Amino acid sequence: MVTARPLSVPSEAPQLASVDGVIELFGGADYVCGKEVATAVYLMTQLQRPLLIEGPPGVGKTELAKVLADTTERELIRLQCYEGLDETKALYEWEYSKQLLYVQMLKERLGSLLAHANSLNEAVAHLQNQESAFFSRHFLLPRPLLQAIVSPRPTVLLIDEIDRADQEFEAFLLEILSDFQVSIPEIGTLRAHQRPHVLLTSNATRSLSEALKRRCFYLYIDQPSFDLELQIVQRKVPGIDDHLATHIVQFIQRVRKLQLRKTPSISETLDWALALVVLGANVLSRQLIVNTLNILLKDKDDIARVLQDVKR
Amino acid sequence: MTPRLLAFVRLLREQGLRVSVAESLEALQSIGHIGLDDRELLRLGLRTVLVKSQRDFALFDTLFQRFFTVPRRRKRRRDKHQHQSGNEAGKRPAPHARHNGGLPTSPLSLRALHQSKGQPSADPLEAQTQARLDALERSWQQQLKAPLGPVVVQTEKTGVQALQTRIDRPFPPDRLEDMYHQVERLAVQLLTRRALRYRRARHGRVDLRGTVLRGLRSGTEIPFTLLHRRRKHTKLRLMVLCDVSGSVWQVSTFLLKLVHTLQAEFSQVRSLVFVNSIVEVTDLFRRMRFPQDLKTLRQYPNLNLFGFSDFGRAFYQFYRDYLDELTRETVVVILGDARNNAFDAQFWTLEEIRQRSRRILWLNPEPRREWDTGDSIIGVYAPYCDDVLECWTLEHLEQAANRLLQG
Repeated sequence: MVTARPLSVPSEAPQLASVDGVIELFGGADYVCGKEVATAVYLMTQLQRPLLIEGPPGVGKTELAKVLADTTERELIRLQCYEGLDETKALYEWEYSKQLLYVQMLKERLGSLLAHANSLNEAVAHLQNQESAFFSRHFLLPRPLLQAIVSPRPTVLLIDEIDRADQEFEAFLLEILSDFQVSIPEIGTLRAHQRPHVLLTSNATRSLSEALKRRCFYLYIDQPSFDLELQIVQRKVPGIDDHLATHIVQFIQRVRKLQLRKTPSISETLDWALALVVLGANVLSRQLIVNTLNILLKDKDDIARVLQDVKR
Repeated sequence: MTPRLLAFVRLLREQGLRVSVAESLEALQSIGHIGLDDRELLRLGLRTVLVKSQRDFALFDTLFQRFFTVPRRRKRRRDKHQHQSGNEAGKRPAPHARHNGGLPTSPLSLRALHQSKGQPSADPLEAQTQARLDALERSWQQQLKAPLGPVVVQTEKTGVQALQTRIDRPFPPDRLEDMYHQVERLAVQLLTRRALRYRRARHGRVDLRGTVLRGLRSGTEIPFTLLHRRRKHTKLRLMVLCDVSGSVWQVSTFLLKLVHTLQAEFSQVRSLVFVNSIVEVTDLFRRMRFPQDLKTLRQYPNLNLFGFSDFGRAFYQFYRDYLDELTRETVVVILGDARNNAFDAQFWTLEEIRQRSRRILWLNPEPRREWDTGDSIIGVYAPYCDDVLECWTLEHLEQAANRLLQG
């Protein structure tokens, strides 16, 4: 006799088996990362802890979450934080208009249901019996956090730019992150089938609470080193001349050392490299830099500062 | 591995990193996944789990280096020790234990260590391993005690002292360390209090339009639910201009510390310091570890700490370079004793600055009775400021911060 297998067979998602495995797997998805990143990712997936990622803007914090979702074949659920973000936007909300619509459509049905009632009291009692129909999951509008919890598929939950949300929201998040369950008064407690991989990113515009930090692992992604950046450029910009790539990265690394208002990040490097390839450049000439610098730098004073440096 | 890891955690705590019990447990678990073979990986793994701020990375790396390295001299003694105790026919330790910074290598996986800790084992190799580990442990402990002793004592004191510091006394020069803690605590207090006030005050006046609309939506004309208008909280921008000459250095650093801890409450905080010319130090204070890095500020390029205070010149520079940065939401905070060493006051610049900003708040770190005595010209500047407060105790500082947060 063959035992029936459960319908939801856990898919054979690639496992992040070791730190080197992570590097390899991410490399396959065109995300070049160093050991630091790989170790953090490996540990967070193994020990099922949230990972807090800090670093300057544009170094690939959000990208990391996307790649993690891709490579582990999980669904990516993203919660973008902003000032004033609250539970109704982050967790769940009752779909008020839908409830009303149903009430309108079911008016006759309700009428017949209540027709037998002899008194107002009885009618109310009747209605109360039906109450659960209107506060069921049909009318629940799940927001990212709840989505991540109730999703039948394993997920990666990305809580982006947590430092923009208010401190109160941080406290609220603690509860979710520690248990992965949500109590909805009308329905009951919903528990996660499978713990999502949780990534939080922060641009460090303010320091996060100790309590939140304590619950997370921590990763700081800095501007990439020369070798790493060169690898990334070669991987991400197809058809780029090796010579040109080297020159570009050398130039960028030098620009980062200048005191600029906004140092160019890796994403800007890629934009620039792509632009140069489209322009059909083979060599990074001075004139070319002058003409295309506005792709790399987005501040008038910064551009002036770099141009001055280039002339020398 | 457990006792050794705990020792390492203790070391981290003594050096001022906050490591919770849960975190040290996680560290142990993570070693189970990472293994001990790769020292670099071990460092990264432990750092991921134990250190929650990039500012502390350097400290962690140094401590890791110290803790997980056995100096050559000690190692030789360890070998000798092993031979003397004559365990397992005086076998030479496996060659791989000699390099790799003294960390036990591949055959000594964590599991092996765990077992060997728990039960006496029959396996000769394991017994040997155990002996070697014990010896290692001893040498580690010796090493730990020696160079780090004084630091340990120092950190233990501060907690008690901090409690004894009264806030209505002038800043005591001998308890600076505590004062920074106090300032930090004050900042946290202010933040919590403010969050509470916000929660309560979130609802403003009744929103008539919204209430009627919602009533209509539910098909009745009777407005069941009152809607309130949301109060909008505009966050202020803060421009802090501090005199850091010898006489007011302390108070200035307290203020800088305070406003940067309160950073989240403002949409932007920028710090400028001056003695006779302005230097922007926003980036430094944003990442600063107090009070260790005050030294960095002291040696900041272009900052001549030994010059004579020149408020007029500083204000003029501010007027010239930063006037465009001012908005209606910018509060300018000036900290200084206005002892101008008889230089030109240039008070007209302050008038211009006030025109372009929301408010000017002047904090004077001298008691009021000393104002306008000697070369102090606070009376010349005061008419152009919205508030002039004295600020020479922690209580004053709190009042000033409250005034700031009020907007």
